[in-house]
Amino acid sequence: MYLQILRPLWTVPISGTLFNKLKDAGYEYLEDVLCDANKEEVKKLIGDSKVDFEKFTSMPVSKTALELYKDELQQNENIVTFSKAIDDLIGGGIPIGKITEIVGAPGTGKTQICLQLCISVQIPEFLGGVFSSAVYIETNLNFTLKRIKEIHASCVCHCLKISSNESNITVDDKQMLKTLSENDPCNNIIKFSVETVEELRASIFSVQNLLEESNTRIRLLIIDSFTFPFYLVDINLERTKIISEILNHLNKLVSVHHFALLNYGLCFSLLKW
Amino acid sequence: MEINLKELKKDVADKLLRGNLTNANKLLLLTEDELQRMGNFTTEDVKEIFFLASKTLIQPNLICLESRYVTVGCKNIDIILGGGLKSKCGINELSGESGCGKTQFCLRLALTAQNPVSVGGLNPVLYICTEDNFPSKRLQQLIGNIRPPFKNSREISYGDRIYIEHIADVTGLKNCLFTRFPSLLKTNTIGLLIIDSITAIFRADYTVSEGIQRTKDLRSIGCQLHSLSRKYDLCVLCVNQVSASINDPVNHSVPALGLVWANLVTTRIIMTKCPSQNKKKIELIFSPHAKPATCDYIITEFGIEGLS
Repeated sequence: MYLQILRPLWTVPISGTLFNKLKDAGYEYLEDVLCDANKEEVKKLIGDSKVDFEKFTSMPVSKTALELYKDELQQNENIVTFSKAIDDLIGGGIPIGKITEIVGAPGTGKTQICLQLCISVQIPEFLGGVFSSAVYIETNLNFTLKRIKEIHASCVCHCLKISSNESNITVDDKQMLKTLSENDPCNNIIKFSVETVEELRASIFSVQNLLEESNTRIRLLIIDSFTFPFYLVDINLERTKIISEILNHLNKLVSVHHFALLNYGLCFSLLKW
Repeated sequence: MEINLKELKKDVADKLLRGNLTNANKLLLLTEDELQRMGNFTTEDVKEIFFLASKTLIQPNLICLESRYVTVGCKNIDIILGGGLKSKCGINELSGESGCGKTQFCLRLALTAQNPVSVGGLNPVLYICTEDNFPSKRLQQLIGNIRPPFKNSREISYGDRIYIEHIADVTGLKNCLFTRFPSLLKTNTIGLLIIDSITAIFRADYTVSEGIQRTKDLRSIGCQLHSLSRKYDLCVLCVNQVSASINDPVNHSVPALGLVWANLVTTRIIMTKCPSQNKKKIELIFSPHAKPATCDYIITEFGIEGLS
């Protein structure tokens, strides 16, 4: 016989009205409601709110630290940036499953790295890439088709040179390389051009929709730049609220759908009065 | 923009109507918790509402649509700019000391922009002057000296297609960019907007303690220029002055208006004079579509001429 700790109803995520109704009827604990769940009066109280009380008793999934470690070792994918020095600096490339932020003064090359990554995410797996698509959310009109094509051409050159030195290439690998060199790189880049904060949020929901529904493998999301739409939001409290909401949303997406997120910020000087 | 309530379940749609929450913009400014509390929705309902609002507001863009480049009137300078000044590409900034030829550059550009698109032109031009009066005499001289391939075979009346505006302060500039210019754009197509110069407006009007207000004004004007460039496929050129730089050993002058303005600029071009060598240089500092390059130039009766 063990002592059961009863869960008060106010700890359960139900709406205020439903909680008040149950409280007035005398129900204070979740276990009481579950016990009487089949009775008519309880069913009437719950009404159309479609709350499933059984769901609240399920345990969250737990993992041991060893399992987490094994997962981390397996999923150690990165997206290379084409510069060995930068890759070594950040541990192999832009990590998948995490949010990376690039900050810098104007003209330092932030957009160039973003464009470069749009191409390197498409490199076949046997050459160290992830052979997937990218989503580019542009807020400051920095995306140029001309530059993407230039980078693509030199990447293809580089990949063909490396693969000609490799001895054991399978037919699948050859097919992937062919896809990279012959396809238009823009077929694997989905671009959203946004201006305001609402549009930025809308584009992130659209990305979530794409991740959940479509068959394209998206492994990189670039927001260039994250700070630009917030210039027009004057009230600081409003700005903080929306930024934390968006970042929370992105964090959830990144860990569930397993892709890399690149945020590009702008550089500000601190004024001291 | 209003969302299409028919795509949601009936009870959810009714609640949204009752709570006056049918505008996609307003919905996307709410957090998940706020929306859930407002209408007593479940998590799945909230997700569907947000998905619908996003779909209403935005769709993925086609990447194949290329923007146009406008020639500045000289082939060598076009090459270092990566083909010319790009339209629908944010703000192009031209800075330099006084007397190095920024206004000459703008005048020449204002003329070449009116040529047909096949020779690298755009459409009529809006020229906003904030410093001196518009140099009409020099413009007439340049019109008289236009050479092929930049002169059209049909006689275009170049002088008639430049709209000139004299603005002296921030209020005037805001009025022009937020109200009058958009209404002009509804009836006429303008291809190029030149502001000569953007610094004059911001340098004089603010005291030291009004720094925050200056930042807000700079940002709102910069964002409006971006928005106009995006919406109307416009090429925007802002002329900036320079400030002395104390710490930098290489460059003795840097573009004015600081980091706030620099973050809003998409393409930065600087013209410098080297009095010791009696040379003038035009340099592309940064641009998303061209790598940094420089070339010497001289000012002639035809305008700015780059030397290869």
